[in-house]
Amino acid sequence: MSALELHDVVVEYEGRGGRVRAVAGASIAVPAGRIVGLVGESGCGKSTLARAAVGLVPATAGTISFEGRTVTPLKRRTRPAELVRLQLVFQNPYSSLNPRRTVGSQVGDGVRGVARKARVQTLFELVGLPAAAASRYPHEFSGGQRQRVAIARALAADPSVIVLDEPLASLDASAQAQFANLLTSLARELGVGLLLISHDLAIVRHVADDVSVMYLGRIVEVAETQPLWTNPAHPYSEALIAAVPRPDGEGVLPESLPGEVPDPASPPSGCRFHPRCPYAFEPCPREEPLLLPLAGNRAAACWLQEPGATPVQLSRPGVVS
Amino acid sequence: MSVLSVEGLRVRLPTPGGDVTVVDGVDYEVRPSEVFGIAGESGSGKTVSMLALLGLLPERSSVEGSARFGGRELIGMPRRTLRQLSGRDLAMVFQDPYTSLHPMLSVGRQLTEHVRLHLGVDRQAAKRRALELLGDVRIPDPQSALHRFPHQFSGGMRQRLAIAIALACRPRLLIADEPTTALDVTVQAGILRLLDRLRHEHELSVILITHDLGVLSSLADTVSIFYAGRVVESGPREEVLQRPRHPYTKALLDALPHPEAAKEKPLVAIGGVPPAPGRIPPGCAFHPRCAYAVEQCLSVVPRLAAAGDRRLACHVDPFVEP
Amino acid sequence: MSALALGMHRARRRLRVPAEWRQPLAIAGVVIASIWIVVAIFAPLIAPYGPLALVTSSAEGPSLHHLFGTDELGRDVFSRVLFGSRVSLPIALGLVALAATIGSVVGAVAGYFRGVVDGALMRAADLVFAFPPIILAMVVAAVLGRGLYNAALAIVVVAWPSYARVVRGLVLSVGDSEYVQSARLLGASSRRTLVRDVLPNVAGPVFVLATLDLANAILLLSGLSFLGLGAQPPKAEWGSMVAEGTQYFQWWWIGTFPGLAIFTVVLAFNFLGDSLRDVFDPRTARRVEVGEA
Repeated sequence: MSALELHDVVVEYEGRGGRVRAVAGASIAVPAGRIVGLVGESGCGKSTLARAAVGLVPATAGTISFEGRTVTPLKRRTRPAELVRLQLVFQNPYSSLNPRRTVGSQVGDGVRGVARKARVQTLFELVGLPAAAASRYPHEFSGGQRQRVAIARALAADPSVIVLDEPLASLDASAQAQFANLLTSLARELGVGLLLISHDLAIVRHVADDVSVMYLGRIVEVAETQPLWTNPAHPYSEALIAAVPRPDGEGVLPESLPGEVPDPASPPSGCRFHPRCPYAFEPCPREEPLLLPLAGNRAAACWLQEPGATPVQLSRPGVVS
Repeated sequence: MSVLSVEGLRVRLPTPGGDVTVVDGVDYEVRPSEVFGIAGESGSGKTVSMLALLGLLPERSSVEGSARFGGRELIGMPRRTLRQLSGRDLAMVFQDPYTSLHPMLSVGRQLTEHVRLHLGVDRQAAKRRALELLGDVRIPDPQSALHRFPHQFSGGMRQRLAIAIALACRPRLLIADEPTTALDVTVQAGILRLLDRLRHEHELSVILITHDLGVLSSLADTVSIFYAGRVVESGPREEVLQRPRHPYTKALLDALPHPEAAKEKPLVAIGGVPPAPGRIPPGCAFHPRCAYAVEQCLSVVPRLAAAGDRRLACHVDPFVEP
Repeated sequence: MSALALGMHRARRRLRVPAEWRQPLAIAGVVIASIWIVVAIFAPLIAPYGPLALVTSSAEGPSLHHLFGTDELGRDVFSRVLFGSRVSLPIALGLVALAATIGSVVGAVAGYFRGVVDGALMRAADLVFAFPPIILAMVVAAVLGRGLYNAALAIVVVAWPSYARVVRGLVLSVGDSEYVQSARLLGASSRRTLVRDVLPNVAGPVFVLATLDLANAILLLSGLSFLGLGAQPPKAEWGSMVAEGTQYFQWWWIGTFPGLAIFTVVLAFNFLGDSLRDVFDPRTARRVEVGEA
């Protein structure tokens, strides 16, 4: 039983023409001490899923459970104490901190009990910031440092799971590297489970233990990181990996994917990816494939794959590790 | 015969506290049909140096040095002449596809107006050219696209439109400032392939500015690394990215996750932060963060000099086997 | 441009006086407002005569003895202008404080509870906004009866909705902000976030609004008095003094100097309010490098 589990979660909102499913049935499990990456491009619903996972957005259907308890949506009432150990770090380090309060007092929000000042200092040191920084204001820090303050704040609640919504997006390469290292140490040394949502596949590949790939509101593949990269089972995963430009100096252009992401309000019939899929065949436009388990602790939602069997190698050349 | 030749470019910007040097002596050359890549973190002066070429800096900025484009000197060119030049022979594409197109004019209108303004052709010819351009950048259904507005297109499509407008008058040089940073990775791949095809089909040179070394690696022929307003290393893409010689270049590459690297090995972050303009350390700007700095680095600014297969601004050159 | 922004931030840090304050208008505003506040406090000591004292037999033009001349009853205009500040300034201050308090509470309640409560309160505010301020103030003042304090109350009725709207907007936007969401995820109650996160963000804009509103209040107060609804003669109040001046046009000094007093005070508080707005804007905040551990 993982620390955080989502089963067939659906999140709908009121769009222009009616209800739109930002998340159309997604399942993810985050065990303690493991880093689970959730990747996908704009419009796939990963941010919405992240918010639903912690209760910021109500789920229309499906179950979300944290340490065995149902995660209820956050309303006017104070968040139940049992859920406080499930935390979230936002994407934008410039809007996730109150500009009018010192960073120390904001981190202290999550500290219960008397030794607040000491605990805040410990937290700052844990994330690699000087303890003296606690008395300063957010605008005195760089983006990378602010994200570390945000982590410190999440850590103040002694979390067992932290959901991070694109935490690296606004950071430069060096800050990303530092932050990625911090995440790894949180999982390995403190045993915190991390759900890392990102569009940066290279960093996710380096940091995550397991990866889920999301497209248009659905999880299309789940696997451990290394097998996913060397042998993706879903055509979208393959396309995503092939589209990442490599900084190896070889001058090889990344593979592009034809077409555009469809409007979530009117997804394609059958498999949502079929209009853009190079391998689409007879059943694809007709019937939507379910996310079914494959051998080797993997799962994929694709008609090319046999449930329970070893994943079939997709035949596109140029997919190298 | 170079398309653009920049020498000793120095830009000072006015600030309430006094003038600040943002670009401090930059040299480079762009050849025909070449993709010239410029890499650097924010604050390195890479964007400002381009704005200087196009005369897009604030009024009281001072620009020194030379930038010869097609035999004409861009620095100090009167604004009116420069405006005629840019958009016609010299074009620029910006990072944000959401604000670089006019929201109230149809796509067709923006394209044709641009063509008619610079080339003076009649409406029919302009429309033909507009359709041709939309086809070049692979916008689906160009006929109806002419009548649509920018907000009806996705980010990636808008960037293609911006490129179409930039190419309308068949420029010799296209400056692309972080053209794919705001886009998804599959969309980015499409734009990079588009740029590659266009530069071959139209004999177009491209200056590609980005902080993403992967993007540079896939598209650029030559790579120039900017740091604190100066060029620290410049040379053929393969040499610079596979065998970096400047400590900053190497550090940038080391900070990236490598597919082959062991998972548990931490990423190597560069200690410290890039200096803010106006607070550049004396001598080599990188020396406070450099593991190989020697005495000379603290006081003497290294000049960008020829060093075998590339140009390098470093006193130490620590990675070369003797 | 990030480079430019960084440069400007660096430069600002070196100055002791922030750039926002160095604007000539801001300085002028501070200076003039301060002068008037000093005048209001020390008028009895500064003024050569009392506000009601009859010092000449009839109106006399400005001279060395009477800097602003004397009015139709023989009272020294300069002294009356000085004493007028003791009427306008404290009353304007008081009524702005009252309007700000009422308006802020209403706005906070509307923003916090949302829904029906929000709708009802904001419709009430809209109702007030629908009328031109001076007209509405006149109507309320007329209903309440003549007198300075009634006029002040009328202005409070007119002024509170601006605060309600501003505070409601801030409570809503701050309430939806990611840092408040973070605090609530950590287990903070809505009430606690209201105090710790929302309030600090609200104080600044309300203060700026109040400063600008002070100018409006003085103007409205003078206006009502001018129309006979506020201060009653023989009280030395600028608005009613200007009204007198219109009756005795040939003695131009009677109405002009009180008018100039209104003008300078209103202008001063306007400049002050504008520059305060820049001070509170987080985008112009200075940035100092924080080192690494």
